[in-house]
Amino acid sequence: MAAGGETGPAPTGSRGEAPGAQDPSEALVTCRGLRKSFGDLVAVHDLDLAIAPGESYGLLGPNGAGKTTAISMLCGLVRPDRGAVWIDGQSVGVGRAAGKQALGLVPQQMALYDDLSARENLALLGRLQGLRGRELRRRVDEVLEVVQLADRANDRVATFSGGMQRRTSIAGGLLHRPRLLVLDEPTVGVDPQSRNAILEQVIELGREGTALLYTSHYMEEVERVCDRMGIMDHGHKIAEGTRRELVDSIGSLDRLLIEATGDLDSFADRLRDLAGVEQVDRDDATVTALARNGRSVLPQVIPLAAPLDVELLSVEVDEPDLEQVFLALTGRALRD
Amino acid sequence: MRALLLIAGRDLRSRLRDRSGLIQGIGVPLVLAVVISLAFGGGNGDPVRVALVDADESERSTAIADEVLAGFDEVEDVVLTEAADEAEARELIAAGEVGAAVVLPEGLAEALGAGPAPVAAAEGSETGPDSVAELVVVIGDSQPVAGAVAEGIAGQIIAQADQVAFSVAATIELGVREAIAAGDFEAITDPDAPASEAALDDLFSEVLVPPDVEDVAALGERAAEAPGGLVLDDDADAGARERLDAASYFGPSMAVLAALFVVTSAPRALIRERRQGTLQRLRAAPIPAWAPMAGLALSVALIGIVAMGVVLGVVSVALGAQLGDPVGLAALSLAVVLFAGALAALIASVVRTEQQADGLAAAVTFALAVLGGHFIELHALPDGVQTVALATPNGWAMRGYTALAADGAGVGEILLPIAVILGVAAVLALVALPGLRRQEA
Repeated sequence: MAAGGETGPAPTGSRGEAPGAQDPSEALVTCRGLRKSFGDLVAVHDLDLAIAPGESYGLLGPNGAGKTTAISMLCGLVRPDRGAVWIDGQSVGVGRAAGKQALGLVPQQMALYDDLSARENLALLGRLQGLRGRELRRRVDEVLEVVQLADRANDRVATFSGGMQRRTSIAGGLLHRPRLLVLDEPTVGVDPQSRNAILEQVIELGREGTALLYTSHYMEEVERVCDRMGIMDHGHKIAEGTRRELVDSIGSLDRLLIEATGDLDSFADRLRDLAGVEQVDRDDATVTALARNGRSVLPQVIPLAAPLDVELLSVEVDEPDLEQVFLALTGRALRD
Repeated sequence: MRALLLIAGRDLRSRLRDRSGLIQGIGVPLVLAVVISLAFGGGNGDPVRVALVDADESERSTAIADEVLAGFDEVEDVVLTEAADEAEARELIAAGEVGAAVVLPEGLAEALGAGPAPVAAAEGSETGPDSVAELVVVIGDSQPVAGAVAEGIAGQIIAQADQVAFSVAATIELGVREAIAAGDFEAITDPDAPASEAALDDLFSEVLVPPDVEDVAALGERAAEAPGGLVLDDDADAGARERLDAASYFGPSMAVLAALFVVTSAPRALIRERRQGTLQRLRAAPIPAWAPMAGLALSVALIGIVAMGVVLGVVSVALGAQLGDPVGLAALSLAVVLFAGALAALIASVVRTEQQADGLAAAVTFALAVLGGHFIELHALPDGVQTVALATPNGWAMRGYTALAADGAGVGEILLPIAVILGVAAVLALVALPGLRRQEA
């Protein structure tokens, strides 16, 4: 099947077909078997994906993993060799308007006309989304407020910093109140301060109920923004789940670092008896515990200290990150 | 349709704000049109060659031929050569050695003496039933300016003949000439009167070919009955015509160049849209798939038409270029813009970067400009290049513009150039389509 039919996906209820996702029949976005080749290079291998309404989903992977190609097929910009995409129950394809009303795209590039002002850019994008007259003006003003650029609305985009341009670009994706906002590497080329502001705004959009599809090769961004994520490598989705599920899938343990004074030997012995704790080591004023789920163990640690006259100076939970997950899954670092 | 207009409007706005683009697309061809027109006049450095045939071989016709030939002795841009007869003149035209010929017909002397003034007949035109002698002007296909010069020579001969008649008529009616006032008009018109020769010599001293005494009475009667209206070509008019001819050629020439420059900038704009991500954003919007490309095409087509209009308008108003039938001009110009659009599509289908797009567009445009006779008039190009020019749509366009300006052709007479241009445009568009589809996939 080239680009899917006109009707929504058949309800399968099988998590096997859309791993880790909700029932595809209830999903806002469903991709089935998306595949795209460029010559001999298979950029995306049979990608299945489902995103629920209001969910923040991240696609994580190194450069060249196939994230942008996957998103391009999902948004109807690139015709898949096979497979199909449905957004809001409508089949999405190249050259078809169906489903795109529910979609707001923030491409990897700034995707703005730099000889136009921010307001002119947004007005154009709004009109193409079908907004008119007073409603258009109101929405332009609103999204400019959201991205905190109201005071620069009439300035040409060419005079903006990278961060401001990116925020304008995000505003362009929000104009028509899409149910799904697709952000492709939205912090590339942005200074750290602007990057933080952008992430805060994206998280806020997620809180307000907009479903997000967020791609990045920065694991910390995906961890921060997304409820659930898929890891891509060489065109394959090699893992999918919440951060916790992904970490658990590689069998890695959290590390509790406890600085304290007092009878640390007795304290260490008591720690070993806690459920979930698999290993405890003591080194001068520090006790280190390896646990299956460090954050669930933590509430039990504090009550242990007082009866033993141990004074806790600090407690840290060092959890395995997605970098370690990627390393475990591929044998390579994420940024290799 | 709304999306199409929105996208076209946005692109138009950007292009109108892009001063360097406007200068390159419209300003440069406009300046070139003016400079080349003024610098080269009608000659372009290469003399216009016209053959003169005296088929009458009478004393009057020989005198006319000698006067005409002598008159062009010192004119650098025009070379007048004699041919034995009309057939030889046609051979010379076919061989490209001359661009046109003026044939003084058999019976010219008689016509000048007794009948109405000769009628100039460009080849192929119909003459009136009352004509007794026709000055034939044969114009080749390759040197329209030579044709214009030949027509000018013929017109001058006719005007001189009429000048004789009008001089006599004026003399009769006003009696202003001293020679006549002092003498007896009847005596002047009497071939046997002794004063008539001297009086006539004085009266017609500035006339190219003085009439015979016997002809004066008949000429006077004819002139008196003639409605009048013939105008002499004096030196000033001849100079103006040379400059006008250059502007009439190089104006359309540079207008075509302007259209090519402007329209072939579209591939660069398309690649920039891809690079900026704006094209992806447009395609992700709920609009028809064709709208982004069609909007861009509409924008560059409009700018191309405006660019041509500006150049043609300026050369017409400022330099007095004769552009011919406005309908034909518009139809031909529209065909040129469509060809430029198809060429732009072909370029867009094979390039990947803005630099490649710029380089290829410039190379193709200049190659077409040189081969199509945009910097040197087609007739002045070597024969081989003239043949190659037939393979260029813009070369056909120049033929069409020349036909409109020099031959007074209407739209119906330039259908062949228009058809060739549109045909090539269609082929280019078909060739470009698969590449464009691949890029959008």
